[in-house]
Amino acid sequence: MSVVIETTGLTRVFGSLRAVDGLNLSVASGRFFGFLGPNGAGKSTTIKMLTGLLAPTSGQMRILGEDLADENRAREVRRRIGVVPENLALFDNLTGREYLTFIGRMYLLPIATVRTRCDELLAMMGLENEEKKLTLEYSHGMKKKLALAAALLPGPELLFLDEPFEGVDAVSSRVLRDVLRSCVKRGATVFLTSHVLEIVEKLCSDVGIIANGKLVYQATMDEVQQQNGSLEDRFIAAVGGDQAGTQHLSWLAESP
Amino acid sequence: MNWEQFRAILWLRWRLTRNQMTRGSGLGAVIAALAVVALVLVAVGGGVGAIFLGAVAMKSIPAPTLMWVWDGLVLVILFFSLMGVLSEVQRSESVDLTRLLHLPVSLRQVFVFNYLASLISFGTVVGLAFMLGLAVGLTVSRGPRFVLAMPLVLGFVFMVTAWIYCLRGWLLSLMVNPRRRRAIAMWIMVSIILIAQSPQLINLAYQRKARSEREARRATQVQQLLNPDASTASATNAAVTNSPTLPEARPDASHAIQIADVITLAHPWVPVLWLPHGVRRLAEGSFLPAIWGAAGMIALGWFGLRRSYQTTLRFYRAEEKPRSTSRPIQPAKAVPNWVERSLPYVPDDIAGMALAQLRSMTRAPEVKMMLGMGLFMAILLPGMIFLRGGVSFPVAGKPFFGTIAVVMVLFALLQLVSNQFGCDRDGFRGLVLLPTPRDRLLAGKNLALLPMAAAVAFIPLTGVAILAKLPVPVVVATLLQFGAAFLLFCTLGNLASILAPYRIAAGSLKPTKQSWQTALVALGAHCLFPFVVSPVFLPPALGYLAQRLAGLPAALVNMLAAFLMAAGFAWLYVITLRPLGRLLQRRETNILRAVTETTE
Repeated sequence: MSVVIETTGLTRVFGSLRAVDGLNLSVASGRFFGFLGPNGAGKSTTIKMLTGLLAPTSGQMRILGEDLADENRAREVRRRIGVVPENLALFDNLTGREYLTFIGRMYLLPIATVRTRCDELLAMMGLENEEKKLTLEYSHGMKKKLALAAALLPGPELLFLDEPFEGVDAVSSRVLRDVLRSCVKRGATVFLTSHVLEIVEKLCSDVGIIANGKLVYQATMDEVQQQNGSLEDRFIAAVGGDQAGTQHLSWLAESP
Repeated sequence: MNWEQFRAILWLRWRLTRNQMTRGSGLGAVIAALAVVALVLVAVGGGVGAIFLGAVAMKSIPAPTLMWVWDGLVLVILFFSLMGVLSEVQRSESVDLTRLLHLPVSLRQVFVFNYLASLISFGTVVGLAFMLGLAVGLTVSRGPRFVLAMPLVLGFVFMVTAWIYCLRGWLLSLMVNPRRRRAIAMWIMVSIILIAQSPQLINLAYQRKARSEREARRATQVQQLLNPDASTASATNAAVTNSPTLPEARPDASHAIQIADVITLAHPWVPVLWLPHGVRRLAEGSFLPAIWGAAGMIALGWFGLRRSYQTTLRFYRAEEKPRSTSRPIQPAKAVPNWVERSLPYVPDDIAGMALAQLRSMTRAPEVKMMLGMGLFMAILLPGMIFLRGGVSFPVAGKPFFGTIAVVMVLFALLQLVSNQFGCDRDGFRGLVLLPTPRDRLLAGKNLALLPMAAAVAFIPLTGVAILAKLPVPVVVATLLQFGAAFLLFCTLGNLASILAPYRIAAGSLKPTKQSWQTALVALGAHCLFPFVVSPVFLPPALGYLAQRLAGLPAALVNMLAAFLMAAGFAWLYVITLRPLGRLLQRRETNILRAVTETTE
């Protein structure tokens, strides 16, 4: 099984903050990788670097076997990946269909293919009746679904999803999960960040935990289960949550 | 009503305003402090000054003059109040209901708090201080009956602030829809510009009317002096025109007097004029209009406030007015997708980029506003020159008019072109993720601008061609100059967009979080623009020189030179596109950080 994401000493510094600190990560092809971490741990910074949205301060990374430092190779890699970034990447003044058409054309897909895939994706995401709405008018969940549709449209080999289930209702969440499972089934790799451990536990085959910019745990879900604990236990043990002081707010204990 | 809660809301409003002004720099804090000091000084100084003004200068002025003084005050206060509310509704951080209703306060209390807090504005504080001071001064100088001017002033302020508050609430309720919000914000901006420019426009219109009347009177005088003999008519006409002894026809004052009479008659019927009317009648010794005026304005103010509260209540309860259902709702027809279309001779990805960009821009109110204002200026300035009358232009200078119009049109687009990625906002993240070569992205973006620039250029260029009676070769030369200038403009705009991008607020072209370096580059781009596009003046200049020095036809030389220049700039555009694309690729993560909010 080939490695599709490989980083060595990947580091990103913002002023005095080392958001990602010497990250060594390896994700094999065809896996469903869940990247976990507490708030501010460096998940989004990592995914931004992996997708070329942010330049690393130091370290190397290879995506689909290509070095992203080479601009031409990086562009070729982009043709083979799909991304749902944290703050999405939608144009406010386009409708959902127009946005998907634009993405399809930029990937140089034949217009008939673009049209068919747009119809299918919009129907699957439940956005087919929002033809006249601009993405500006979409709710957060609708925007997430549209961004995922755009990422899926070119049929990518590798999908990067930053918090894809955040703000999405239960029905849509189910649809998204099914779509992602089918992507993995056809051989694609999915790399997602999330702080909802239950979703990661249900979906992912592999898990990595980042805390303070460092990878503190990486294992397959089978290995997690063999260690006689839930993912939550592993997570809390890895990020040091059990050492957090249980502060006692005396006034909350008093009767109102 | 709880005084502590009211104080807390006052503090909140003050803090929001202060934070908005001081955001980003120490200079803002200094400006905010100075603004507060200035407000207090102007209010106190204005009030005291108005007492002296009323007591000394207005002691014996006639009642109608006194009315006009108060009319002026009313106009100033209305202007500031309107400008205040228009700028306030544009702020994202308004103290609205949703931010307060989770607190232990009732809806009615929040409404009253908000209204009372809205009274603390520049226009209201200074206007109230000045008008009350004037009323005190008049009481001192003209007798105790002018005490009644004070309830008139209070009634006026209550009525104006209540209805302005009502307008504010209505606008905010409309702006709940994000798409409508942007359109309203755009119209508010246009209104502010037009209101601020209205004295200028009225003055221009009045001058033009006065001039045409003066010319008509002069023509009549000439006719009266003319000899019935037709053969000597033109000579006499010329003599009269050049004669310094013929008295210049003076503008007739009767027109202004008629307008003043109409306004005076309207005073008892227009509520905002009840204050000046009441003061005038007090000066004439009549008490009743002042009493009725004060009572009427308080009643109207109460009605306005009540209406505003009902709007608030409806908004809170999410009650919408029933819509007319006279026509059955038709199922939406499938609209052809613009972005799907292909463009002849244009590669697919460039066409896709251009069409998506154009579609996006045609829906962006801030772009429409910028184009509209550009068009307004491009029509207004040449219009002022050509429609002025009595001004003759040298024939040799005419080809330059078209070139000037081209430069003005492109200048209107400068902000858009020099910060193309800033206008994409979060969408730029999508462009970074695309596998498309960056030079093609730039070409697509530039291509999207062409129809917009052409549409804006069409009216002024056609106007100039007709009014200046430009010959066909000069018109063709002007079109070629437009093409050449556009290509040069895009090349430089691409460079500026890559080197000095900055974030702009959603729904506007207002820079936010702009560093001083990018601000300097943006300023430099605006200042240097005329020099940068100055080569487009070469073809008409060459035509002029060719005619003067070698006797060659100026229009043809102009056209030929414009063609060569267009070809040259097209070549320059093509050879610089690829290096600019590479530069964009290298800098795109920096651009992304500049144009999007990054929270790491």
